Amino acid sequence: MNQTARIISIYAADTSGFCSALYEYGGMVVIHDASGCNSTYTTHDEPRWYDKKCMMFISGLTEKDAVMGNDDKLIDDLVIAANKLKPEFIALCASPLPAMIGTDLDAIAYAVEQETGIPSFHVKTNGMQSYITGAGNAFVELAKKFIDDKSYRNSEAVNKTEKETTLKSENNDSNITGSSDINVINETSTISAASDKIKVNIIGVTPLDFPKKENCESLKKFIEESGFTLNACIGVDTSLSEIKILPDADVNLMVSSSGKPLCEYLYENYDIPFVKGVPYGIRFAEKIKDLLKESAKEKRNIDATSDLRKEGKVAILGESVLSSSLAAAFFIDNGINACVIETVGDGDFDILKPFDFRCEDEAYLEEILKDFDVIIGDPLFKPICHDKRFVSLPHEAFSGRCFTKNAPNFIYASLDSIEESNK
Amino acid sequence: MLKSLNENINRIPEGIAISEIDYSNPFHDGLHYNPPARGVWNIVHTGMLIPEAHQIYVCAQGCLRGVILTAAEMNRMENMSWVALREKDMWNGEMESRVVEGCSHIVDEMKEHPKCILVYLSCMHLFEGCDFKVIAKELEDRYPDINWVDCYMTPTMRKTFEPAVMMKKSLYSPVKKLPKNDRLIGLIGCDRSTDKTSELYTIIKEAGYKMWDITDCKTYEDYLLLGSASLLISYLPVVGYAAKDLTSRLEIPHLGIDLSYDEEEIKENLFAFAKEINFDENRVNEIIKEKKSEADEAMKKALEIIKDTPIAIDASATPRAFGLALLLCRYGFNVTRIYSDAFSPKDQKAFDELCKLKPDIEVFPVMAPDMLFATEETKEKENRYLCIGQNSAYFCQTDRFVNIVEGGGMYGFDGIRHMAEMMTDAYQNLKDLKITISYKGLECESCL
Repeated sequence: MNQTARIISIYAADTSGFCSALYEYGGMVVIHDASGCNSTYTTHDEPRWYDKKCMMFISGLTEKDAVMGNDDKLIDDLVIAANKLKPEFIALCASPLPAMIGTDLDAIAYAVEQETGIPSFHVKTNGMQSYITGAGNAFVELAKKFIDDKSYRNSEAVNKTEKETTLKSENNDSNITGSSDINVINETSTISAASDKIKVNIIGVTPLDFPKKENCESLKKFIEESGFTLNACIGVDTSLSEIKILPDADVNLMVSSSGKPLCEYLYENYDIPFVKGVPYGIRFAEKIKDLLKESAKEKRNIDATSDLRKEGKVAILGESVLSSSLAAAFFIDNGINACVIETVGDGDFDILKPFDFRCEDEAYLEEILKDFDVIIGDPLFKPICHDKRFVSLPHEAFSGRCFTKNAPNFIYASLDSIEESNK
Repeated sequence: MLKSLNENINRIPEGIAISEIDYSNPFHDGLHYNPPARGVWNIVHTGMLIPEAHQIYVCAQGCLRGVILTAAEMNRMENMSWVALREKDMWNGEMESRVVEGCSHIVDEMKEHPKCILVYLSCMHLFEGCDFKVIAKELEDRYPDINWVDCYMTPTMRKTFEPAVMMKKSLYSPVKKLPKNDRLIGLIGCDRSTDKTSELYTIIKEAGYKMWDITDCKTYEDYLLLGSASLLISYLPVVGYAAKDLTSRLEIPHLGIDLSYDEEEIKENLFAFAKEINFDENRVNEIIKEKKSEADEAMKKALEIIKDTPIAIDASATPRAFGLALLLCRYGFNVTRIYSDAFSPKDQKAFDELCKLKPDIEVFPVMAPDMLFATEETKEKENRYLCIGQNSAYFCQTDRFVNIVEGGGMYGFDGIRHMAEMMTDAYQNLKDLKITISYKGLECESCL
């Protein structure tokens, strides 16, 4: 029966995704909630909570205020806290009850902004959707509020001039082969190339999908060692200044479904194309490197996994972009064919192939898995995999902090580590 | 030089002198911060106390997440299931059937029916005006071999019927009246075991009684034996509603003998208990004298070691934080801080005494937003404090702390003796703060 599970876990909700996405940007991030959303998020969905400060709070809604529609209490409390803590912005979202009674959080955000002068906004959540929706919408709202359009227009003008100059320089280079001045010209050309490195934004990095410090480090290492310049890493190890300069990038690397709405927003509004895929493995990472260049050059969105998938008897359970990327990496790096079983019920479904599955129902999933020989997934799926060979791949958004310490990191690294971590 | 408006140099919260606190309205109840101390039990931990029982939560994904992962961390997923509510469920008028069909599906998937299933409904059911009786009746009709228990995860009601209070009531609701056992006393309201060295156990043993404590129950049948008790006793505050329900359903008298750190109150409670079971008053006096002497000695010994080390106490450690502070101050300890949002009427007498005895003790809230920055102040003063409770340990950033919640199973003068020993141990043997307070549900199994 749909919406029911006997023994498996449940994915983090939109409220946690909202908080996770906005964690590092210096804002006051508030869930309109009675109690529970805060401890759930800060215990299970937020590995940064102990070591890194974030002004994440709940409103402490009571039944009396809910019944009487006492929104003034929330406005007053937000203003009091904001005046004391001076956040960069105030972001609001709703837990199930405010969503149910139709609390107008847009109006409340407006009132608070008027009162405090601090940029405020609302991200639509209801506690009944997945973390992907919450995080994805939060990234977009943050970008809408803080992208520095003025700076973008200026940089566009500069870029245009630079690109024209570069084109001239490239034409000159091709004409000077054999010239006695070749060494001097090559040196000039190298400097020019360095300053013209493709700028990349990594979009959609939240600890719910990338919980370990080394995950983010590997993503950055991949960008840098591939000869790109990292413009911004959105979600982790970041700051509000990175949001402001998002449009300065030439191309976006979308590493999770949570990053999709922002990638689409940047494509539609700033003409920045994106490449979908997590650079797992070595050869797949190389492929993504090439596609980032291609995407930047042709201004075209590219799914890095599209030609690298074949149906197989291995099932990868989880979020669509991460799982499809892993399947593609297995294919190109290790020659293994794998199907993806998208288990969140939310996110980027375009990346899935006809032989993949979408299944968030435990009983149905149990049936589907009978057709596979090997199952790769979070350990909390194991009870429904019976006698199949199970390869543990912890996913924070599903099992929280239960298995984080055992989670392998194969971003821009050999996939053999998944085998080693399961020995 | 121009300064950014957002550059706040004074985010660090300041405590309020205890003598300046308005006890009935101590702090503004605004936005809530959540410190990273996880030892306090929640309704999942409590529900797991019923042996061989299963829990089903019916609520929104965001609410499910916390309870499901509580069970996962306890390695108890085999006792946990869920039914998720979606947006459409709010409007389609099928809230009741969603519960009934969801629970039925889960039970049908099980190889064996559990003896008892706790079904947790949420704020959404409450606000929709869900008919809980219809749900219970339908489930009982479909599965008469299962004892269905209605439980509530309704945090919006926390100011009237808080979830912990409701949970305590649900915890004993499967217990039915059994033939009376004149020699059985039921201890209710405690999630964790009570020290067997306490006066309670000494009196019970000498009087020829046995104590029923849910933490000792290995089987569902052991648990149901509460229905045969001749007397119910409790010492923790959230059990009142459960005691009232049990008293009326099982016709067993209940005696409240509150956890206290006040000599007179402890004595009164012990005499009241002894009287209820016709235990010799002179012998009670002897036990009290002996246990009090041990407590005195332990406290003095602890003071010699701890000396004037500043001490902070928080309300997660004990329901009588002011009472404990008063006791320690009277022994000469240097209590300087108390962290609490809850100010119980039963602790007010101690509060008033403290105001006179040590009016400069600083009181801090726990959940106020600026408490997020409380640790900033103590960064350079790590391990200066000896703390009692996880929250105070976190705020004071100390590795010296007594790691207990809800009184820690200590009771009476024996409890004071034990507390003194734990304080000494905490002072001498440092704990890893971050790791120790990260475990959810103190003393529960953990996969971390």
